[in-house]
Amino acid sequence: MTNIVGMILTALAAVTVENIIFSGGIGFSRVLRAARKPKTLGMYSAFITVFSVISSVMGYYLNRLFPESELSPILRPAALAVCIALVYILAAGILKLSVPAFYKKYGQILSPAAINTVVLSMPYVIGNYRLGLWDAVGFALGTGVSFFFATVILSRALHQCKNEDMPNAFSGLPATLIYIGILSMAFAGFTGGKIF
Amino acid sequence: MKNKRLLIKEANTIFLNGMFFKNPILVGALGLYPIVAAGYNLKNAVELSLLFLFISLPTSLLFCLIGEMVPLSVRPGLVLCGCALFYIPAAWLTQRIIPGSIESLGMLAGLMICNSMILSRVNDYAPTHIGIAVFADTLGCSVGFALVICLVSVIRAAWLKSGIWQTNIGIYGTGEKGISLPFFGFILLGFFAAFVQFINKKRSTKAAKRRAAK
Amino acid sequence: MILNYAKGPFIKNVPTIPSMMRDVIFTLSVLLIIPIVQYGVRPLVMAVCTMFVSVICEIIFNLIQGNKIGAGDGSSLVTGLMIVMLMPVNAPIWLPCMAAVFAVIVAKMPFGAFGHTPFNPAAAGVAFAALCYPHLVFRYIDSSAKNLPAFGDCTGDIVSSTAAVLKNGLKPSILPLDMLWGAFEGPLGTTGILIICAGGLYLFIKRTANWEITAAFLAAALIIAAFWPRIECSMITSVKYELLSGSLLFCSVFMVTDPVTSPRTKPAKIAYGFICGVLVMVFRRFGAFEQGACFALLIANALAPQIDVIFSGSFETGDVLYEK
Repeated sequence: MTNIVGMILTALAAVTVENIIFSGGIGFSRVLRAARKPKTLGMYSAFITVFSVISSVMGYYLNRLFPESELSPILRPAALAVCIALVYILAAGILKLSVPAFYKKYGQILSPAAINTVVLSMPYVIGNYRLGLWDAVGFALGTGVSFFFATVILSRALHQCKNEDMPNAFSGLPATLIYIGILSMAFAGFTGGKIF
Repeated sequence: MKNKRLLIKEANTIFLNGMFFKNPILVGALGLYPIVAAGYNLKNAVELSLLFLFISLPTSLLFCLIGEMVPLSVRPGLVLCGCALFYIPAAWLTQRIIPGSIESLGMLAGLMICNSMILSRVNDYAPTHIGIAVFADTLGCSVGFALVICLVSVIRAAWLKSGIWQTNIGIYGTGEKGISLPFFGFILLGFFAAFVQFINKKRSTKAAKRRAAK
Repeated sequence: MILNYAKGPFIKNVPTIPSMMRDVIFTLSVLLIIPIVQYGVRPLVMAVCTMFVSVICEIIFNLIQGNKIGAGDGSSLVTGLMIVMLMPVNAPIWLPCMAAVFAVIVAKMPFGAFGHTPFNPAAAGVAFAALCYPHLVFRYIDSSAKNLPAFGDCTGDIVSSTAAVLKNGLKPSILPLDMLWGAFEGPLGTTGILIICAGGLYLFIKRTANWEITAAFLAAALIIAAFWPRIECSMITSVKYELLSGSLLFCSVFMVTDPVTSPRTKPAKIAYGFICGVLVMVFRRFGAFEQGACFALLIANALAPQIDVIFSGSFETGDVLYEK
């Protein structure tokens, strides 16, 4: 019961005060791409959540396998990335064979949802915050929820960042980047700046 | 001879596109994280630029050779494996050039493996283009990345008045150094993207006038 | 008594953007009176400099764009004045000016100027200043200080504001009722509680601001203050301190009601006001700074279009967003 409560609290923290997407700027390239495909927002975020959970659990165990040494900053990231790549290939294979219709519909978002900085940052975040296994899972779940909120907000914002009164030079991506910057600034009010 | 000249001219265009006119950061919004998170002093910027070049170049050339042999569904996973494997010598080389760089960068160094700009060029561009085009594109993107991150870093470091080249004080500054926070990086990128968009618009207007004149 | 029969049509003056801006500028200017009487001309100098910088930034941006520089709608003046109201009187003059530059050049003009801004420019400017220079934005000179220098640095005792004391979980020494008279430390325009209330009433009657948003905002703040107090006291005392301290009341009247960044439909406005109130209280409790109203407002601004979509009952505005 304590574990579940801790998990929920960590998930809440991941959405608010320790939001790595808004305050940390992690994964906004993916957020923008997901926001441009509003019909797949829900599934995209679900994939991100699942892979983040897998990454955080893997990271929890892998962090123990690699004791602190001179080579660990070089070897550990490579090992984590290879593990995530193998998980993706396995997931793609299983989905393609077991539910081909589902894979045909959502296959094109599976790889960007599995392989991105949000998913691969989970082991580092767990290491920095020294989270236990349940808290790590909670943090990954909260990050998935944050990703969903970010994409929903941005999918509306993309319309606001294109209008005839705006300078041509700022229309589209430049205004969107400024929009993201101001939103990130708002979330920085939670943390005061420091995340790790 | 004529073909060779044409090839070099094409490669030049691809290089310039990657560096500026179709810069994946400012036009494609790829690879934003290292710039917004770490681009607040020149030392970080140079370290990340070196890592970018040393990871992307060999991986791109490898997938230029074998990319089309790999099924589309599996390719992204193999690309990530390739980046991870080339990260090891890239990190070692960067560490040799700037001692202590990988430790000071922390997770930022490790996350360069899944940098969306590298993954996008290796997965989408490299397998479907010839070697010289891939080489020019990777080099152009690397230079473009370096230019953007260095410019952002110089501006932020100058505002912070903490010295342009400085030992990393941590991934993020303290609360008082708001300029080192990711939000300011996004805002600077927005203005740079506006500048590139302005230049591209002027170029396309000029090209349209030239075509109309012909 | 003779009643004169008047011929129709009976046309009321339609509010225009310049008329709405004039109303807001008038109300904000009245708020400046008490600080000027208390501290000297410094508040007036800050206001004039910041408004001047806002207007100059808008003119320069228009010149670079190649646009005509017309009379202007007055929105830049409102932005400048609002920024000053949220700064301490002892802040260096360049600080609100810098916030105004950010507000106009970053949060306003790139999006197409007034009418298209997704975020309240004044809130963005103050948030930027707070993140970059929190030791200047949240630093207040003793309210008993008199005749502060118009341009130079202010020397005097630095004290904690009521909001800062509450943030530390302590009970402020000033009584809630005494806060009504405005003689306590805080941002320039947020301590004149009675004038803010009167100004709000004026704006609601003139239909320049929506009372629904303010009411929902204050209701949310009230509920959270009553049931989750930050200090050991009765519910009513907690409500009084929370509503009267910091920039909450000022925000509820002047910033949350911004017609550009708030939703369009009535139910959406009420929901937006409520969500904003909740966010402000969350920032007060968990945020890094003693005042988080500007940060909370920016997040609420980002949620406003989505709230509009949900309450309009139409998921098909523009692109189809959700599959049925």
